[in-house]
Amino acid sequence: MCGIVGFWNKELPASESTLITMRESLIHRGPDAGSHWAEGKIGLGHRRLSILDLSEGANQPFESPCGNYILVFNGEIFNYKTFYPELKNKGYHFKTTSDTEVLLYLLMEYGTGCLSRLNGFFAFSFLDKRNQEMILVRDRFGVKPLFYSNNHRGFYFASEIKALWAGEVAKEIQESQLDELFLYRYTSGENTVFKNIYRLLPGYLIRLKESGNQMHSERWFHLGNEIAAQNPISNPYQWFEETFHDSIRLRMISDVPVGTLLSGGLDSSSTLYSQASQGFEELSAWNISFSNKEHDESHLARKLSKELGANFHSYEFDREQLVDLTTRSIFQHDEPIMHFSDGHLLGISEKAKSEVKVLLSGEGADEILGGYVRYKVHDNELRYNLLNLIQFVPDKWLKNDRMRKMKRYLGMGNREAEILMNSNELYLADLKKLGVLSSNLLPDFRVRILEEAKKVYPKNRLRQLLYLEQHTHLYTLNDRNDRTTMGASIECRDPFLDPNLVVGVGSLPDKYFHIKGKGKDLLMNSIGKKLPDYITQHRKVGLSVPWDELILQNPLLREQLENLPHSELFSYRPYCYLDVKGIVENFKKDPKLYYPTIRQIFFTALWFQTKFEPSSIEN
Amino acid sequence: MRILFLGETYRADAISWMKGVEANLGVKLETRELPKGNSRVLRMIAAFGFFGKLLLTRFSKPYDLVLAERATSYGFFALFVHTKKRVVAQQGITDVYPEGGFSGFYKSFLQRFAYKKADLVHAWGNVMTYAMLESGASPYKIMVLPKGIDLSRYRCPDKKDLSPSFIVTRSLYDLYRHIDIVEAVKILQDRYIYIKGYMVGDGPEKPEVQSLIHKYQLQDRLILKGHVPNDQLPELMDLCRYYIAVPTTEGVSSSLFEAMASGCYPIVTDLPANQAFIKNGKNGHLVAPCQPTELADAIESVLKGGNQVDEALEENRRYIELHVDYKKNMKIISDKYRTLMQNN
Repeated sequence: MCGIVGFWNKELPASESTLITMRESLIHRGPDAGSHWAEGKIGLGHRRLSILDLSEGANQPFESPCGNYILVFNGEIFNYKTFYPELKNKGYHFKTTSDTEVLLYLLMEYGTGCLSRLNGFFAFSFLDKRNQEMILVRDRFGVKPLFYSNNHRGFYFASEIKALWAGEVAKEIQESQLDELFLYRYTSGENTVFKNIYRLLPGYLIRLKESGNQMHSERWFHLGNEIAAQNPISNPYQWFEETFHDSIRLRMISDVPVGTLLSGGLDSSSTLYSQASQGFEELSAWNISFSNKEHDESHLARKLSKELGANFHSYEFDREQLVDLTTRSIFQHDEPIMHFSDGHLLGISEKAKSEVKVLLSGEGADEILGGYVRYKVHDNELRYNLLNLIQFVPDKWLKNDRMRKMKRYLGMGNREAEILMNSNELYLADLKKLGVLSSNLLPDFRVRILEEAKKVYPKNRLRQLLYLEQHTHLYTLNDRNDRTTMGASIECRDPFLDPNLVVGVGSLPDKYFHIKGKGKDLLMNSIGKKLPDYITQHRKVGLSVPWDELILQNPLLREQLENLPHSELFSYRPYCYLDVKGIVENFKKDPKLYYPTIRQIFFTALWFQTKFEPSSIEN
Repeated sequence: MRILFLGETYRADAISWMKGVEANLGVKLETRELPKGNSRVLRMIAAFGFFGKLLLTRFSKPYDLVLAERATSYGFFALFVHTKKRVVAQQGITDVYPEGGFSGFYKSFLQRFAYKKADLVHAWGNVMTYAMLESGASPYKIMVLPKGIDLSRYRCPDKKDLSPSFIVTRSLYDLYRHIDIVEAVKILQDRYIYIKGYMVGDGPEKPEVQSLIHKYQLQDRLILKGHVPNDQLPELMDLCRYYIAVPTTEGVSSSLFEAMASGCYPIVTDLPANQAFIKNGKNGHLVAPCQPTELADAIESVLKGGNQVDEALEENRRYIELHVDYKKNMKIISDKYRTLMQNN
């Protein structure tokens, strides 16, 4: 688990100082060691967070014994030990016990053909000097990040965008991407909000030649195709439980202490339970508590930890701390944040850092198994048709925020658009009301993945939605987790994103996917049955923050709110069409009603200030 | 390959669409359109005949593709043609016009039905996609791309040394608000600011516009050019550094693209269709409709614009070359049709 950087210049020889500047901008991702390799026009850099094989011999960049291949790697290959016999038989000698060395030899032996055999998360660059070819690869579900820029100077890549800026890649807004940011809350696919900075898509690789003048992208992992090729599973509940335990077992492989992010909900509780039931020792649980009982599950997490013999650590962050953490996480994230719980995750990671170097999380369970309340609309057709009647209910009769939101959502009258916009806060009616009337409503990537989802699950709207979410919303959660945990030099592992588990679950019949109760039928009826009732019967509580109150009451945020109309952000489309002063005033009068709009623009403006305005904390 | 075009084949817009498809797919389009005429009764009878002919296609070999303009008229008729694939192009921000009343009710039904059955729904700009989605069009079926303009016809000469002049290329109909432009020029005259304007085209508003010009004695400043053939328009645009269009409603405007390609700085109404291409004060000016003083202020501000205008003209030309090139776009559009026909 580390940070990687690199470039392939078009004309100039590799500058070591540039490489070092890029590399050191990622020191938080790897405080244990830093090194680089440069030759000709190519430079590769690495910051290391030592998890497996803590010796210096496992530092990167890794160079093959023949000297022809160079690898910089961020991530973990959990099944790396299974490749030893095969590689040793082929004559490879191992100098370390690191998974990096195994990956290097696999790539040398099989090329990218080995990728489908890897169980883990990763982003790496593999250079073949003789053939003058560089390959960049990213894991299946985007747990580990990789960004690149192909500009007039050369091809630059890094684990985080800030390292590209450190390498003098221009920091400019790509205005055409702001439509998607505003409506959908984040940019999907390869696009970022920055000009000429792209993300390598999860499950994709790029082959580079001639300084990036030749660039070929391939999709090495296609979830739909893998699901189609999956053998039938005879006993889904039993299979799920066994596969989940396997996933946990693999994710406990570490030469440093491993803890668990424990909210007290079903997903993280299952993660801790699996560790305990498999006999893992010295367990620790890390929890965020809230004084507000509506948001708090710490008492459940404490009780479960005690029963499972895990050391329990719980922290509450007061409002001032939360504002500070959120501001820092905005800096850390580079792109605009969209979950607004980043501060909490950064805070708990900083606390956990004192005792562990790895944290397991329950992330991904909602998207893979179907857990969000917002999925309920598409759960069954009768309910969907009944809910559609809400359009005929006058607004004044809808006292509940959620019902008003539902009316705006279903008011589109377009099932596929509803699936595309399921995780939105704003819909077409809101755009019209706000005067945003010429936006790009249909980002290519989302539309393409929805079409793919329709082919995988032609008759089930809920599963189409899950498939889409697995390629969009899940990526943003992975980004958030990576940036916040790595911001505190902690590795975050996601057992629900084990490839065997995700593909197998995707191949199961529709009856295992419904949003009754807490949803997540497969989990609830397997491991869930072994968990105490106080976990499984407790209502679902998300990691939500009452930002409407905070924005109005915290002096720093309040000042930000008052200054919002002066932000340069509002000179860009589509923000320039907004009546910001009016929105701010309306929010002050009716915080609940205007919360979705204000939250969206408030945090985007805060991000803009952090990244582009001279008084930001970055400078 | 047999392709049928359903639409008003005399309209410049339709002509450029048909020509582009014919050139790229190497096929002569068959066309059908509703008869024109002054008698409502005769038009109704002829419309039944038209509809009957479409139904008769059921008894012949199917077309490979039908292209139809306007969801609520030809787009709906396209559903009755014996064909393998259907493409419907929306003409305005919505084709449900007027939006209210019984007409709005039944037209919204026609639009929804047309989009549900179409294999491809064509939007010339993002501004059209709102209505498409609200009419139930599948996102995957929506293609957003303007047909573009023939760039070889429009140069972008240096106009810095020309005396200030603007061009208006919209026909003289009330909705295009030529009288506001005359009023704005009068206001500028009162402020001792000189600008000359050329108004191209004819229309029912001509007498009123003419009389207003006379009333304000602006004959030397505002020239009514009448009908100017399309091939002579670029020459006239070369004489003007500014383009003015202040209608009360606007779809995706080819005239705006032509102005942007010709080096005419756009001063246009602040409407969604224009917002998609013009950012106020950056590459053009957006003004409220029916506000001559605001228009006059904008013209005055632009005349003092200096570098901003120069940069805008360059930027606009670049934008058009990149995104609104007829040759490039019609190839993309035709390729999409070809793929559609191949996916049986």
